[in-house]
Amino acid sequence: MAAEIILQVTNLVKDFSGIRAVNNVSFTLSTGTITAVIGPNGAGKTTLYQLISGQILPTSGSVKLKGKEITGLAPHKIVKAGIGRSFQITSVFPGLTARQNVRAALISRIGAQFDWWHCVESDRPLNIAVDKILALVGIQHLASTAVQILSHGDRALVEIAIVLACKPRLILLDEPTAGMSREETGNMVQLIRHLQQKTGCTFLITEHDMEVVFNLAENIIVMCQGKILAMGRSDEIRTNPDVRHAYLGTIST
Amino acid sequence: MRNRIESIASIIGLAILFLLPLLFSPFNLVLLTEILLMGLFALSFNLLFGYTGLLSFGHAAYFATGAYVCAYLIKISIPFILAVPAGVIGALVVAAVLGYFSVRLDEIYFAMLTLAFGMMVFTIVFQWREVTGGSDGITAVSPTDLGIPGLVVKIDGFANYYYLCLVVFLVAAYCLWRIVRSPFGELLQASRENADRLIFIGIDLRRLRWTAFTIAGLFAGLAGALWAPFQRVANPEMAHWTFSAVPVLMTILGGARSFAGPLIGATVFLLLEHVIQSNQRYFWQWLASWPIFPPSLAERQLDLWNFFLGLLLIPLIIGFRGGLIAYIDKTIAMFNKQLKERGK
Repeated sequence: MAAEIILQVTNLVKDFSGIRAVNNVSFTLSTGTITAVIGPNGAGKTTLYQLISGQILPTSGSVKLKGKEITGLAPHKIVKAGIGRSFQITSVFPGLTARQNVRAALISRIGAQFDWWHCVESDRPLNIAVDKILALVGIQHLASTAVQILSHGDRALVEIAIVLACKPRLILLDEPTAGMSREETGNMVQLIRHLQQKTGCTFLITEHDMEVVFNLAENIIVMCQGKILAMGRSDEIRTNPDVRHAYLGTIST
Repeated sequence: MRNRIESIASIIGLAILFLLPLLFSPFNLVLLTEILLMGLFALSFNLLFGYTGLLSFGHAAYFATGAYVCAYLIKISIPFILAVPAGVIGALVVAAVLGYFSVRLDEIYFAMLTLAFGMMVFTIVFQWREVTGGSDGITAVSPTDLGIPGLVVKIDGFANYYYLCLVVFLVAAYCLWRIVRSPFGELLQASRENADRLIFIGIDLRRLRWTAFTIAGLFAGLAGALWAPFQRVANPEMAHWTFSAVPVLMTILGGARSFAGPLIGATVFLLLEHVIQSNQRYFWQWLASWPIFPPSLAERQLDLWNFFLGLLLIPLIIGFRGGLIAYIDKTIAMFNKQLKERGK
């Protein structure tokens, strides 16, 4: 089956004053799949994310979303083009309620950022749409709570709701289960799978927890020292001797 | 229930504001007009500070632009009704230009850049004597009539000018109140909470901040445009950085996280200033009666106001970041709780 390609990364290179953080990385993602990027610390995963989401400019190479060049676009334009992302250190609007957090993203999505007259609180269609997204990630009961007093796990859910409100085609999650309890991790895995089925979004996930990776990802990209060491279907990677040696070998003796 | 109480309270409040000239002496009306205009200035500042999280230390520049443009036009016999909007537009243009560069920076760098731009505006109004009157400023700015052809609306006299300012203030405050509750206002608050996140929900952060900066400048200009005819002068002090500090202090005093905070701050600030300045001689006389102080202390008109302002601000900054309004809110909440318990 020839699935449509949503993201095409070609020969991506990023140098940081002499250090090649990302070295000639190329890969494609098919629509609707979940792909994990794994690799030891310093392998270049976060830099790769920053390059795709436009936070930093590549030294060379290109990123295409649905065949459209997005290399060098401003980050907010890349979001509008259809890439949403979460951060390794959960990034939300702490002083606002969960509802306001999601509503801000939705305002951006519907292009109402320069509407300075209508009252957001009494905009029924907008608030109904917000509540739907909160319900989708299962935090509707936290709608009126200030995000700064939520637990880390709930805050991560708020961040995912923010990302969903942007209606992305591709979602980049940077260690979505970092710092979570076993129970929260399990819930997050279920949520991501649920969201993939419900929204048809494509997911790219970095993750340290191998259980989560093999549980979720159909495809795996293994990075090491800025390069792609191996990529393929999850079961192929699990049995790949190079990967076992270079990465998995260190934890599964 | 709560909504009804709030609307009744605001109707009573409005009625009081409109009836005040009947009760008060001209001097008190001057103080009230001052509170309205400085309150508007502080509200406009707080759109940037409390809502957007940007500390502008050059907000006087836009106030002064409004004041100078309006004063200059009145001096060349342009009707008041045109001179004030022209002042507002002038402030908007200056804020748009200076804001375009200022919003490229964050935090302390933003504050310092706005301060630097503010001092540039000060230098211009101080030096450009032919137009601005140099250190004297533009004096004898005293319009007598709104200047609508075929309609006589007197604005000279303390009560008339108070009513004019009251109406303009109410309209402007209502607009600002709509703005902070709008989608745009919600994004401003989101940008205050986490500017990086805002970019990654697809917002052009600079453009958002630039717009907020320009709107804040516009309302500061409106306050300034009404201030010059009120004081009958537009002078360089209005552009000085120490004047930029006034809305900062008022806002911190009243509370930045609430819409009404800067208004309460402006009211308390100006009332205290008035009370202290008109009574400080008694303090010095009392002090001079002590054997350890020289009697000459009684004759020297030493200013106590800034000393008291400092005394007042220190506990607020250390212990009560929400300002006076947070204190009022807490008291009301406690009162409500007691009422409820009694109701049971």
